[in-house]
Amino acid sequence: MRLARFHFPAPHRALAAIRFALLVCCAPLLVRATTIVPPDFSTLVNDSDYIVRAVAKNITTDQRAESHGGKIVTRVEFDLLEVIAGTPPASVTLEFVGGRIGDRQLRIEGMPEFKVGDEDILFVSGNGRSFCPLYAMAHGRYPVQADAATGKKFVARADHLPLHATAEIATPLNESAATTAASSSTAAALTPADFAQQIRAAVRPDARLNRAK
Amino acid sequence: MQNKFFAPRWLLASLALLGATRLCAYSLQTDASGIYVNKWQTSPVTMQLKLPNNTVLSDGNTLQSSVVAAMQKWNALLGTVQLSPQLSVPGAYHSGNSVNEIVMDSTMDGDAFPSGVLAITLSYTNGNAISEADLIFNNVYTWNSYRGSLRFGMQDIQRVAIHELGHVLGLNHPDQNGQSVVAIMNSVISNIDTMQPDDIAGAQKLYAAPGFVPENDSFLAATPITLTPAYAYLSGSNMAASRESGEPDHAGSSSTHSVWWKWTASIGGQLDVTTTGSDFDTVLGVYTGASVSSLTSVAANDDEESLDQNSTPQRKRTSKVSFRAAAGTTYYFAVAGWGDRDPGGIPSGYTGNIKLNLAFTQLEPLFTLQPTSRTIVYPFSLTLQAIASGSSVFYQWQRNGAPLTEGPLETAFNLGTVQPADTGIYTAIATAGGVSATSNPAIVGLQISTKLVGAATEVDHDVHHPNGNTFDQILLQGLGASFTADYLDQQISRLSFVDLNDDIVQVEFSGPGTVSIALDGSSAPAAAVNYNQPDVAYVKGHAGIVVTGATEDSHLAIFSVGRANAVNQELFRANVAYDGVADLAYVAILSANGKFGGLRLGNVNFFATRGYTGVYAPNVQFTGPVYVGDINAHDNATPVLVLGGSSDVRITGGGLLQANGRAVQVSGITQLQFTEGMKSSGTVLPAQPNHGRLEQNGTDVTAQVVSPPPP
Repeated sequence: MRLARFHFPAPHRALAAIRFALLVCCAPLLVRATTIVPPDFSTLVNDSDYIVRAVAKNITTDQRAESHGGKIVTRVEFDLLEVIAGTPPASVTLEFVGGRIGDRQLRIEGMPEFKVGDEDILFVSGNGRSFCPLYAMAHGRYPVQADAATGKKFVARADHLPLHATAEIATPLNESAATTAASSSTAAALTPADFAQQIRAAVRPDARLNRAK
Repeated sequence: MQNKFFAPRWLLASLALLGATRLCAYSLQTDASGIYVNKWQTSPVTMQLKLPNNTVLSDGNTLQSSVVAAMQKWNALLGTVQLSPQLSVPGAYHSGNSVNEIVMDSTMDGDAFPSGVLAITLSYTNGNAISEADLIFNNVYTWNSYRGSLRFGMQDIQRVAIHELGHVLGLNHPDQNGQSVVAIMNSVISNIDTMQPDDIAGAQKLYAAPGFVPENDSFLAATPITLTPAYAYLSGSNMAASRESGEPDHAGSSSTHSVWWKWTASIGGQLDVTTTGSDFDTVLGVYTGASVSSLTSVAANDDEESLDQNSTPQRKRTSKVSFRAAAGTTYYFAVAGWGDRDPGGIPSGYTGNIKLNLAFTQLEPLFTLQPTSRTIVYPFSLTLQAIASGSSVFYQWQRNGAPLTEGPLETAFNLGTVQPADTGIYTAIATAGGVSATSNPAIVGLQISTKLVGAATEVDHDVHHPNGNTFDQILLQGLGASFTADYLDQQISRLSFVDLNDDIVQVEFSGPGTVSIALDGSSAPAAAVNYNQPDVAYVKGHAGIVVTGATEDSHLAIFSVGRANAVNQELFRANVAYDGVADLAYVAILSANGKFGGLRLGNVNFFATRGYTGVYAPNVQFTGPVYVGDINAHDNATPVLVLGGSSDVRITGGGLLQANGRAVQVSGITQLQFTEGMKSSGTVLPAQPNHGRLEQNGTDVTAQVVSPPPP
């Protein structure tokens, strides 16, 4: 359990400590994913092939030609809004194993699912090699959403709860919702520009995205 | 100033969070509709375990046996599906080969694992049926098997297997679907090493608990529905339900898993029935009938929306029917899942959790004020009243089914001073929008303080019969009369008339109370055509008899005059074939204390073409026997054998076969015997099997009441 993201004003530090303890008691004991070990922010940035802000513009489902039948795959074509790090191809189409053809469906629980028009910041890794071309599956997808009241854009996690700090990335999805109602507030959420700036700042010289072409 | 006893906002927020956490629940896999769940529709689910079995791990298991233990843990919690391990050796596997495989590999059938992925489950579905599931553990990680807290650097294969097998069964990650629960199905691992209540609830939502069988599995166990006031929202399940011998396909489905509800319409109207909210593709059938093998279809539906109406994934594949319900009719609702015998289909049909929703729209007027039975002291007047809800209601009053007055304002019917010929069974018919409703029947009788009132004469008195009784002889001379018996002298009053088959009929009454007789279709007094009695003038007609003010000391016997019971054998003619039974329309009884003695009508055949025919004595407990020859309703008549209660009720020589096919309305009968009877000529009428359908408050009670059981 990471504690660093709780910051209490000094005059209320003792009360805040009690508050924090109670909040922790309310939450289930969450450590890391059964199927997925959530990456920390630095690993996510530096082990991705490239990082883009993009909008899904076309989604197709197909059966892959394979020697033993072929899996159903879903290909999502994106319009690139911004290249944040690395060098993506001119046209980005990501291939996810799973999808539906007629009444037949192949499903992998936890696989990100897109709709045309979805805007996301994507940490792409292993497209065409991996059954999910996003780093650590849902942990490689950050939807860009708009606050219903103000229209202000903010970055969310794959569970659509606002991302307030890059440190939250290493926690399991939904953990923040289980521990503090404030986590659903969009006021302090990272904007796409904030998040992109922090991504760029986290890129190390030896990052995969500096090598992958 | 802040009140120090107020809970701080953060504390309230925390408590609210606690409550919110408890409200959340498991997440189930659905198809693209987001409504209909995906699950295994057949059992067992055989899974080939192609895992290493050569290393003993921390808890004594091998990788293979630890996964088998995970399967067994799920099996102990599941009703309609079981996971069946098929032990194998590590080797080739393929996704999409229709074989369920559990393996350990560095890729997922050739596709690399994304970073951080411990294991993955691939599920193929066809429609809403899972057809294949493969579970691949990522061999990049170090696997062990242990209980309790997580250990650094080694993954516990059993808890991961329990989690992944949850996916195999159809469970999602609750924490990635807006839920906050303690569950092994969360996408996060913890010291939780086995299923939690939320996981179990989710799995049993899909497959029920071990041993579960729906209580309304069979037609005879159909769950009764009560509308409140015009709606009902019911829940159920067809998991582990069966199909009965002789049960029809519902809406064309070959399903072998159906459950039943039933509802009796108290008034006529439109009933809309849906299964909206059910989590599977349902079919719905509505029927009337007494047994599952002899049902009459009223309505049926597979999908509420056709593909033409809605081609989106959200197309309603639940069912909807609407039909006109008739007052007093019991409707049976069968709910099952879609199933077909086509290649690739599911012959046994889908199963799942059912929502059954009913909405009733009253189309016929509803009586808010019913006419009530009345005993009128002669010579007083009576006004019957009835009021029905609805707009522009038109009323018609009937006596014994014959119309009297009618009009839009006729909520009251004034009989004036009630005469013996006015006695009978009254009903009001309310009509609105072309739809009619009939009120409850109301008995109208007279109480007289003299021996005789009306068109009758006491022609003899204190006659000593060879059987030891003493009686007064009354001769009916017109449309109706009322009489009493000298019960303090323990005498009988006997009234005579001729029935429609030209039999002389004797009505013998003893004890407290007043007997009123009213004839329909009466003729002027004349000699009985079949008898040698030219000096006695009888009136002839179809009699209805009302007894009021009776007690347990009151007794009524009615019979025709024949060679077997007449003292004077010179009455009879050699060339006449006597009918030998007394023909009546009805006998209705109002008791002074809720009791009556005996009703010996074994030589009476009741029939009518309108109104009620038979014995109508609601709430009257009989301390003596109730014998009836037969009841036969024609045309618009309703056959009745309505009592408050009797321990000895017999049909003597009749079979209750109804010319108009209507059910005999009964009450107060725990056992109805069919025994032999006798004509007044002495001819024995053998005991008949029951040919009638006995109905009480809309429910067929034939099987419960008839003794011996119907053939």
